[in-house]
Amino acid sequence: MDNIILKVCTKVLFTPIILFGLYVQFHGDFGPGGGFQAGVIVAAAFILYAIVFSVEDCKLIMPPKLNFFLLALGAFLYGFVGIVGLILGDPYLSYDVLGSTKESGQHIGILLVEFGVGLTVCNVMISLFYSFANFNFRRKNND
Amino acid sequence: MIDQIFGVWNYWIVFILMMIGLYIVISKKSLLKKIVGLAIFQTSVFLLYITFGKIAGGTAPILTDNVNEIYSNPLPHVLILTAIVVGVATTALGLALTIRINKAYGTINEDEISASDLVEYHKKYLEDKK
Amino acid sequence: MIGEIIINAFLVTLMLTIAIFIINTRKVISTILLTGTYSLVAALMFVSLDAVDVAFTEASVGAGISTILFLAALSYLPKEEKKEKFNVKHIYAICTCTIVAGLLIWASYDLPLVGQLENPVHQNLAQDFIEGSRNHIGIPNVVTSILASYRGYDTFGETVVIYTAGIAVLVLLYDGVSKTSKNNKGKNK
Repeated sequence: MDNIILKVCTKVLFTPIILFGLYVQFHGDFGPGGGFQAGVIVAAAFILYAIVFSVEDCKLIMPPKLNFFLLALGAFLYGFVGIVGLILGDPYLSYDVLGSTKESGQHIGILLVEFGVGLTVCNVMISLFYSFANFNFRRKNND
Repeated sequence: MIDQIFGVWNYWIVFILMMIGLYIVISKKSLLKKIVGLAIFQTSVFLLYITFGKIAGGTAPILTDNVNEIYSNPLPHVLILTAIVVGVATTALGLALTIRINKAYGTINEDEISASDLVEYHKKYLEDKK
Repeated sequence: MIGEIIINAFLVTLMLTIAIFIINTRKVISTILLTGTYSLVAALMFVSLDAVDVAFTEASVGAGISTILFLAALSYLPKEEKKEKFNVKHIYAICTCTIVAGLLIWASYDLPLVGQLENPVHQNLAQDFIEGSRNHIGIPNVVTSILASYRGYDTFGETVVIYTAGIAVLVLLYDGVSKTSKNNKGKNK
């Protein structure tokens, strides 16, 4: 796309969208929001960039390899927080022992878990868009 | 009277929307339209769950300092929150399958797909007979 | 109370209208845009039913990302549906749907009325969760505390489902990309 207005607007909007995503992520304890919504909002920033510039340009700022790594890391982080609690002598995914008091343990656990969810959702959405945009329709099945 | 109507009104609308989704899934031949029908069905089920959690005169389940505040039931909200995101993931999977089918058969019309399958089957049968 | 009913009736009528229009459109692009609008109205409906978190998710996921995915998929699919004649199968479908809708509406008289405090849904766990979120966890947003702490297993499962769906789409659509890039490299040499 060769529209200068769209390009400048995207460049201006890119950072605030990600900032808003992070706000939704970490303010989810106090207001509406959380990992699922934040992941989608951050992914929306990258998808906007990919639509206005090109998918190749977007791959420079979010390489597919990093994308796959973060995609797996989010789900791993979620499970790992549970295992840490298990090692410290608590049932799986109960966060009481993670902090000095029960309440702070819950806070830390919920924050980490939500961050894991956010990472996975964000990167799944980006990789979905990449794979839809890159699909090679013309190539025949047999060659 | 008006309470009575409001009390079941949401259910009726949810059921009608559900059946519109089901009708699209049954009767439309285009696979893309079927996915859209599933999305409508899904949203109506979400609406049903959220309707169960509503308390008249209550507020959103975000705690305030007022002890006597009535909060809507947060449990259906949690179930539906995750279901929406899983729903979009499964929709994407369906779209990917549709694209693959379109590439293999050159069409996403259900009838044409089964017709070309039938033709393939008969060709193979005739070859085997020879 | 009366204002709430009017808003509710308006949004619900809008949803019904959009859903009926979706049945008959043959241009795929208008189907997709109507679906996006439908999700947005559903999000407004969730706000009026006090589910702010769900509304947030529906607005960003249902109306935003899924519309983008549909549009991205549309570039590989036919842009218009084939014309269909109205035949016996449609009548069967209409009959089935009408009968099921009638049965469900008949059954809805046995459901508890919307919004009553003494409904069975509100009697068991909800109060424990709200009190626990205030005293034990100390997080004001009850939805987040249930999502991440009380029902942590559930959310873990959902995260894995999303992960799996993402991987499945990659597998379904990936091989074309990798093979062509290899071919291009071969040509360049």
